[in-house]
Amino acid sequence: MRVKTDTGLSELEFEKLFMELEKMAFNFAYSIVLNSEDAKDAVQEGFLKLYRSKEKLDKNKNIKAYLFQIIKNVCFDILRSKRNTQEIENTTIKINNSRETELDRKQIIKEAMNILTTQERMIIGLLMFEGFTSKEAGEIMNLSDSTIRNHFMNGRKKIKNFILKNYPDYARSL
Amino acid sequence: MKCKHVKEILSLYLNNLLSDTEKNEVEQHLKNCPVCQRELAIEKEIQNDLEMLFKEEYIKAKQNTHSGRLFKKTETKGIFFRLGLAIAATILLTISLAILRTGASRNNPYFIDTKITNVSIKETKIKDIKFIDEKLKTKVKKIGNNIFLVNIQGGRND
Ligand SMILES: [Zn+2]
Repeated sequence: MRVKTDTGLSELEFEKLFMELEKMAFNFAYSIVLNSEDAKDAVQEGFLKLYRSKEKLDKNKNIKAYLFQIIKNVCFDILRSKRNTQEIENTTIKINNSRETELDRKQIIKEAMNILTTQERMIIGLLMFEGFTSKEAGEIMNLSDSTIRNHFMNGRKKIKNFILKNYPDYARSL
Repeated sequence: MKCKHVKEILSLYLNNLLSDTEKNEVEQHLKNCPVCQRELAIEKEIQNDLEMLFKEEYIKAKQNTHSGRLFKKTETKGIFFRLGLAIAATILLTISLAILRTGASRNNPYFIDTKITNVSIKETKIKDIKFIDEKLKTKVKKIGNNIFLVNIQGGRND
């Protein structure tokens, strides 16, 4: 997508980039914070930072990777400030927990995501959804191709083991 | 390829993260191995559920915006503003509760409705703390027979 100069994104180019990356950016942010509101905020912050510096951006550099790095940092800030103010676990009182009777698949998968390291979650977020290649993910995460694949594998393995151990009914019908 | 190895890399296989050679080997193995076929079915299920979770949360996030976009070019109050409010609220409530606790005599405990929909503290400044669809994170400590200490640990202000 080279235009005349290599520096700076036009309004239109920025808009195009936003449309292209909005969902991926959300998925990535969500994989870190595991909360829709916070992920939304991180996407907003991330694109805002990119927007403000759009005149200075070098199109030969990997803008995508740059954006995702910003989002990652914003997400870490969010996690950090939350950690300082509260215990992360939501300790609402469970009065009548119906978990035993019906499997809430969304809840289960969320619980499973929660036991992964942030790094494993991020890599899953990057590779799974309308994906980055492991090489691109490596650029964002500053890790080698094979390390990325290993983390992905381990993350997914943890999810599977967690579910099979805690929710044996999950796979019964398969 | 042995089952153990195939099992390890099935998630990579599902996400197109294997080399062509590896991919072929996995497919060959799957043809004749019902055990790994079942493993693959489980991995697919997990994959679907993960996709569903992310998709639903994305839709939810978009629905919570005015424009349906996750980005607007103007500054927003953003997360840190909200967190700030939450912190302030936490501190205030904790302090108030602490004051109330020490201020009250032992014969005069606060009775808290355990249903959490409507909490009231007897004889005082805080009336009816409403927990709107569990968005506030709370920690409730039982400090006596019918006495609970509610600690509000922040949450959303929207
Ligand atoms: Zn096998």
